[in-house]
Amino acid sequence: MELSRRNFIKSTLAASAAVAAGISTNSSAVAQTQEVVVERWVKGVCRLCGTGCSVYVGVKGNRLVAMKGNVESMTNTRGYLCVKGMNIWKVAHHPDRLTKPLIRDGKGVLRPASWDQALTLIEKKFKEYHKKYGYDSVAYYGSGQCTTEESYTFNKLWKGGFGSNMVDGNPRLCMASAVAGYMSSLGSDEPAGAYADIEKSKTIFLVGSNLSEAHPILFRRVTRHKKDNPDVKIIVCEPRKTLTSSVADLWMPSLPGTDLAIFNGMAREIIKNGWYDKEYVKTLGRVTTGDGSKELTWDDYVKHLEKYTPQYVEKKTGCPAADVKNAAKMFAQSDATLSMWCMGLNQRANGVWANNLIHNLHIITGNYGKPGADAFSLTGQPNACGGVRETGSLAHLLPGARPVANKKWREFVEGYWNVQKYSINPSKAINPKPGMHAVKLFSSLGGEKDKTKPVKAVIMSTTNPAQTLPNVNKFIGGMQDAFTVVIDIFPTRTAQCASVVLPAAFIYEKGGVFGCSERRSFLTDKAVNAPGEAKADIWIAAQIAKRMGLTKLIGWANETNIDRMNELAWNDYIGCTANTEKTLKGATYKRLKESTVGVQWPCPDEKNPGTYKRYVRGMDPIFDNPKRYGYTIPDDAKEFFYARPHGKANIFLRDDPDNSEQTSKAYPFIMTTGRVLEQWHTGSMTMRIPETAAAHPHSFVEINEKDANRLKIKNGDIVKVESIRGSNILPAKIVNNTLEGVIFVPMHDQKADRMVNFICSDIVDPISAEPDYKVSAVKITKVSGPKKIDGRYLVTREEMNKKSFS
Amino acid sequence: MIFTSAVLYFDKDSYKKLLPFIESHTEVEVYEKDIDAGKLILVISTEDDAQLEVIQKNFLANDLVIDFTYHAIHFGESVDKLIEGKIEIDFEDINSKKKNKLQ
Repeated sequence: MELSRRNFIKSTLAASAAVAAGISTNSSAVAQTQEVVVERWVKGVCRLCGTGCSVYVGVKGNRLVAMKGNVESMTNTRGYLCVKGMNIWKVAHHPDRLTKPLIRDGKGVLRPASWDQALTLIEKKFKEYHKKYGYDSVAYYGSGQCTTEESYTFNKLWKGGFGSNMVDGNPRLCMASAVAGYMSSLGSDEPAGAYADIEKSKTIFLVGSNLSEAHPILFRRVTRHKKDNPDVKIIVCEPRKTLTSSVADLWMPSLPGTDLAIFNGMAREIIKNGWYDKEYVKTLGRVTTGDGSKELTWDDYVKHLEKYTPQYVEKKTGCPAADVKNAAKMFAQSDATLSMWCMGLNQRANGVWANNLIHNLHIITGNYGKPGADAFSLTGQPNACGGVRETGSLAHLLPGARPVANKKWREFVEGYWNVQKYSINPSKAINPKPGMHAVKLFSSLGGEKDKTKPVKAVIMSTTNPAQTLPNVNKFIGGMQDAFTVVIDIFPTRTAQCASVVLPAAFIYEKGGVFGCSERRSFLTDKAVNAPGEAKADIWIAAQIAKRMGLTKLIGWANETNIDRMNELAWNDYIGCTANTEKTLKGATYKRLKESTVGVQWPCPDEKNPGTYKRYVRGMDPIFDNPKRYGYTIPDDAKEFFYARPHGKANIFLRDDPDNSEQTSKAYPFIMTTGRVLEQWHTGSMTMRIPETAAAHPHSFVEINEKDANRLKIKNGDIVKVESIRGSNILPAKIVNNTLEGVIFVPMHDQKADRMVNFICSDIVDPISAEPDYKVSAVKITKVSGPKKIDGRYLVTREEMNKKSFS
Repeated sequence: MIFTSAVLYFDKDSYKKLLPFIESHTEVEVYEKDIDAGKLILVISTEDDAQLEVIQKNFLANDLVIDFTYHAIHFGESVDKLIEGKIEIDFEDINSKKKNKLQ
């Protein structure tokens, strides 16, 4: 039968889906038609969210023409895709792509320049400031969207080459509390388990996560698991009743910022009813408080929890007392409980403590180390884990996610990088003092005339702090006055503040490794060439290294082939971390190139398949040779939290302090922020996709119907949402899915009077320094009745030449 | 034109009831079926993703449908048009002076 071209395409897509769904089909027909549909399929990872979905992009000529899920994938099982990922091609081919370096002239206009001109200016400024103000006056601010090779290169350049720890990144704004939570509770960052635990779990506790909109593919796995196994219990604990709650057996509402009382209340119920795992607590739990150094007794813990009666919890949080009891029972009486959380727990003034209290629940019920049981933090970006946490590209870390203040580890990294020989800093050493976390860094950024601002220059890659920082108005002036370099694919608010803008290559135009939430590193191959003069970040880092006299430190600086640069950087990285529990020594570049599923660390050698479950003998390869990693594990230990000498996880006594901004008579509402399904982060990509932008073209404010009635606000009315820091003008959306007194505003809008971070509180968690985006005290006033407002707003090339945001 | 393949999971005892609903969507074609397992492979031909999403929502709202999930998408024709400047990417609700035709 002769098929038209369109029918060829449709047959191919159908055949591929049939394979994914396990329906037998004529495979030879698939092979025949594939060549017509695309010239080649190139494997990669989806660029959006932190799930790490595995895809193939179809290429014809130098164009992306198709995308399909990888049926072998362990993340998006069966190769299923969501609407956000499927639209990514419109980003790659978008006409707004930055294609030439830009330098701001004396009149404030960004003028096209050559790469040599832009890099020469960067070199001149960096050298000048190093000399005048010291090495810490020049900072790097990265992203969970850079590849691992890129983050590692910039991190090595700064910490090893400049002797400066002024390296931080946007993961500070999204998962720093999870990092500190894992490190303080279990002794080592990142989850013990994996996504595979979803299908093995008996109870799923979703807290501070609107999984349905933020991680749709994982939500699909959860819903399918529930549909296939109706006995599985799902508990959702979040301030808003979202689509995620639609699959829940129990929705636990709570006032934003108060859920620590719920977790302590659940622990109290579990102990009071004898549902805790005495043997697990005895063998693997250790009661402590503060920084974890002082050991307390179980009785101290029980006494500490006495305050958290269901009635107290209800009064404090708004969560019905009966729900606390039910949740405790479901959590403790299942054979395997999996908790998953995201920004709702992390972006908080008490984010680390909230994380600690989730771990407490797992320790006291023995819910680690067995299939289906884990405390799993979800990340919001595709390479926050692999690129930033694991390479240690934060101000206080080194590769392997070990603290820069750890002398032994610092000296090892100095030796591995040959810092003494290659560093341009006279100290010839890695600075033992941590650099500045994101909020402090941007608070300290300013022009040469401002003596109060010690940071004079910053290079920012694949991130948009002029929109994402909390109380952002506070930081814009500093970004405009300092020497700021922005690497990005589109005009953004941050590019609007920049001295130099460098056009970047998109992931499918350069390739590289992303490591997702479940410790899985996966390599994306380059599929097409970047437009115009856009370059890969690793090339940009290499050019800076060369110009700063650090060619030998960055051994791939003289390479011209990006694939080869990536390979050399990856090899250097996995060598550096080979003797840590985060080892990917067995995930050679060749293996990653060939693998269609990626590799989960620890993976100490090429024969090792990678690790599904940590801390369990027979599953975790660290048990095979603990001394190699600096650990001691008793021969008879079946489960052991080896990053602590005693092998026990900390059960923390944590109270429920009111660290967040408090409401008042003048500011009586709590505003919380978050995502919507169609958009991602600051919308610089998703607002450029017509369909997703049309589905959510602008922000709005969700107001509880009772509050709206009191304020005489109707659906569509224009209202002013105002905190002591700033305000937004937004259309009202009247809802009944929140508690009274709580409002919600999405975070994606770029229009100046709808940028929610002008309102947000810049209180940070005292341990993780992650901002408290989830709790801000605001007031609401009606401005007018319903009014047509501008839809999707995008920073244009023209607007990049204006100082003020419109 | 965008072509998308999707897997439809349905109540296997209700195939006959479901069929008229599927056939009411002219953009949807059934390419493969495993009725005993309650699975169909659909290919959907739409002008854009918005139309695709409406179809997905319709299917998910049907009580006989257990799940509906995308697997692959081919957008080659749209990429060609986009690059040739034949698709306007802006919106009606944005000031027309600001509309950019793709280059």
